[in-house]
Amino acid sequence: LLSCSSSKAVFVNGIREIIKDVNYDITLLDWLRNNLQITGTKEGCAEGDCGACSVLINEGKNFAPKPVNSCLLRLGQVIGKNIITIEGIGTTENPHPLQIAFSKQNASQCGYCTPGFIVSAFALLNSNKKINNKTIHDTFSGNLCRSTGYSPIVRAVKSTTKKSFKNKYKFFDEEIKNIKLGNVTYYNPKSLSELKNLTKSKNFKFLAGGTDLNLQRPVISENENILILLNSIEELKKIKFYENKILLGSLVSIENLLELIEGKMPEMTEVLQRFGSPQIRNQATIGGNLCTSSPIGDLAPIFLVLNANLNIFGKNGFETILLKDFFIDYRKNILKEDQILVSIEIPILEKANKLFFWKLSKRFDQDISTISLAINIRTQNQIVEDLCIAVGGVAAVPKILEKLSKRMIGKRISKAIDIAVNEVENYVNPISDLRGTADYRIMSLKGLFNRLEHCLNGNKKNISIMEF
Amino acid sequence: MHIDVIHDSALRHTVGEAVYIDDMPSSPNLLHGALVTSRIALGKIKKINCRKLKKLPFYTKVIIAKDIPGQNDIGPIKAG
Repeated sequence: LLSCSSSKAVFVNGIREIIKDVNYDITLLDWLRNNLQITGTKEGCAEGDCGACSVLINEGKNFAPKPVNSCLLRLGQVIGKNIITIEGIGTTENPHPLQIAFSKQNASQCGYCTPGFIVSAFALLNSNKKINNKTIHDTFSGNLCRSTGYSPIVRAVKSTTKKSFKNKYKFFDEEIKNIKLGNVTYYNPKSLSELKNLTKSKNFKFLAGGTDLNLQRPVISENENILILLNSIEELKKIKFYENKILLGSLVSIENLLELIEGKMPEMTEVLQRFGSPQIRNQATIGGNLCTSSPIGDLAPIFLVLNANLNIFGKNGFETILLKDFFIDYRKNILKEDQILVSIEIPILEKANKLFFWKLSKRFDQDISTISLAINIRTQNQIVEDLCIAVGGVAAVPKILEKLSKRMIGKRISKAIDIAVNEVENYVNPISDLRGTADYRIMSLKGLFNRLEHCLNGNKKNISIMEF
Repeated sequence: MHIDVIHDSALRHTVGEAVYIDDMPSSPNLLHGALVTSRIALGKIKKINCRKLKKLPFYTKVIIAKDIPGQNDIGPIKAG
């Protein structure tokens, strides 16, 4: 046993599982099922939508298991980490109360999605959240059931008391190391200077959470042989509140951001709650969302209207740029190959200003925006005094509509909204795709401007899409 | 009557012990089959030409309707 302790391992349900004979881009899911042959964790969609592959990851010494999609995690990303799978929650001889409740409430039919649901519910029961309809629905936004329906599942969770579980596992605390799988080395630099050294080599790629990049198969070709994981660099996880701004490290997870802003920035809460699912949000990062530079960029529009700036680091040291200068074309940003985003600084909204942020998508949860609109506005006596509009999903990049904003400033609210509705199509260039036609995108953008007028006149802070 | 009955597999579903086809380890040299379907949603099959399929590496056998012995029917209630 001692001779084994130097090899690389993942801790699964309290057992140190040594890694051997695996392909360089094997997922955690395939490793669990094919190599360890524990098959309670299922493959449904294999792209992070259905949640059948959910497992729990416990970082740190406290028992705080977080659900993640094991189909979206490379094995190389979880070396030295503690994973709990469905097998670790209970067995037929010794089931967890949740598992008994699911059985009694007829919450499984074909049963294929059930382990994923149990994993999500288990995380909820072990969190500090209250158990009610809202938290249960949010918890299951990343789990799809296509047979029995959700009502018995929700009933099963409600019937389980919170205090019913004690962690029975020892958690290992092993230093996260580099690992070579096939020809590919997964590096885990601990500091920016270590990272700088690594970028001297050729053929490398950075990996943050991987919820987007890991959908590409393969994420790198085998001759691009270095993946630099950013997750162990503490400096990238900084969170600081200043009097006039918030600084967020690029590796802060979206779920973490959601917890941080709850109560502080209510305007952002709904969009963040509808960002992916808990599984995705636990893995996805702020920096990843910006650097993947999708035209939608779920976070980008609101950061744009707050005039955020970005701290960038590379082999020539640090530099700071405005977010609005970051995106240059479809899925392209100004980062050079050796540069990473370190943090984003978001100015606090000025007291007289109001912030609005809306996302339209085909599904409420776990869906990519068709369009999104962020507004930072100050009005006085029905006159628009200051305005910044940013949009996602209607051009090659998320962008500020500067000219349109300027056209609206100085006008009465009703006149300004007329201008927006009549002219917005001159400033955007949407495409037609499976999420909506170009016409639909323009029509719904106009609809959102009408919603803005409604909010401003009704003096409402925000309107949830649930109210429509 | 009017009693909830927990179905047979319920507990095994919830603990992940229910075994689905994909959960069974595949034996060495396991023969794999795949469906080849028409790319036309509505049409008449005039003939089936398997020549190209037979040239594929590891080709074993093509099975078409006429290879099915007895009545070719999977309809649970009506023939179909």
